[in-house]
Amino acid sequence: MPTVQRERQGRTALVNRVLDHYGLKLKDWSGSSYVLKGQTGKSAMVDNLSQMWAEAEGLTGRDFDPLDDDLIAALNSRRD
Amino acid sequence: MAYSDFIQVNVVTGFLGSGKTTLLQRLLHSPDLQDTAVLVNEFGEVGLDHHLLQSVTESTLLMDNGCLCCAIRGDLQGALTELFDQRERGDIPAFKRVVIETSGLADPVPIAYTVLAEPILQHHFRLGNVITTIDAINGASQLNEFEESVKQVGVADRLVVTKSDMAAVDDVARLREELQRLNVSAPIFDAAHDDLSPERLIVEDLYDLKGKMREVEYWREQEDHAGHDHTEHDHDHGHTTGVTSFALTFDGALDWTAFGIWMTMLLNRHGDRVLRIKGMLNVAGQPTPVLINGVQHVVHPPLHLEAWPDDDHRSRLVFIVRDISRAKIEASLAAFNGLANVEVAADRVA
Repeated sequence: MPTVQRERQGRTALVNRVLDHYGLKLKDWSGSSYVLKGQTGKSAMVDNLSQMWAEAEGLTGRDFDPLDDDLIAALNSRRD
Repeated sequence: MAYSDFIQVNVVTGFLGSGKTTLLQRLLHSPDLQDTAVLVNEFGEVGLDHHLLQSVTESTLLMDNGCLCCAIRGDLQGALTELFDQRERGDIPAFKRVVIETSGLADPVPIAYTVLAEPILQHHFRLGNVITTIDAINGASQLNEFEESVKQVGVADRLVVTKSDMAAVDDVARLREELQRLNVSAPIFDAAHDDLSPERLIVEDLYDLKGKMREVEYWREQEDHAGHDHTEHDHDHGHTTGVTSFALTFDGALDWTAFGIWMTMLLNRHGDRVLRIKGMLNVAGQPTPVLINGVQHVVHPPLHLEAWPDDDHRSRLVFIVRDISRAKIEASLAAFNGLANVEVAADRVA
């Protein structure tokens, strides 16, 4: 698999570990964009990570805060 | 063309009367800066005599998201494009750098955003240093009263204290201490007593071959004697309350992907409160360090150093933030980085 594709796959998998906390999932779209999907079927196309966080907040109406204690605890629990 | 060969855009900012023009006047006499174009927002009382001097009127075009720091400065966009066209046509000498002098209350961040994000400019120009002048007589009260002043100090790469020969020694010392607290990564120069080297103030920056090693060394020195959190003070800081700078050190390599996810998420939610992030990272799988440099939502392209400066291969990050605790940043970044290790382990099992 070409390096760029492998990197995209790795990035998508890692982002999904974070998005899981909010009930969202990111999927690669033809190797050029991504589709962000919510549990209710709402979705949005995004080109990059910076754009994705704002879209994720729009889809869920929640703040995606990396400093949130609950998120940090959830991420840490995956290591246990 | 290498990124280091792009035209360097420096910003000189500081309150009205803090000595911006006097500083520029002094620096522009140097032969080192003869190939510099100068943009000023207004022709002030102190006349600047320079062959490549142009005036602009500050105007800001807000982006759709209404974020003030992610705003294209339409005047600069026009002025820099025009300067570049004149240079290409041979109408003016082929300048290597630009210095922009802002008005006293200007926010330097939209200037950074304009240079780094404007579709045409980003292919010819790169952001150099933000140099902030602070008047030793009025600087402390301006920091206390005006948020703009705190921001100008927070985003600076170089701080220049002016008029210190007219202020009490103790007051100057207290001002320097406060500046250091607000911005641990910027060297402080004294216009009255130091020999202000154009090379150190303007020519050398993170993307200059000699400058980048010197920058890294400086961050490390600062971390050694100012690495602790500066938030604990028992006197009133007025507008500076909540703004703090600190340096973090991490043992072991950081995962680049996890770091990118963390930083984009942090800047999306807190970009208005993250005045600066600078750092030298030990990235997993990379033999040499990567430099990162961001001003609010505006992030420079990451830069790979050719070598480690010495045997200390720890990652170092300097943060200048408003109302965000060091402990939160540390815990959050560690949690995201830990996730990458889980990912690697999971991949191995699969």
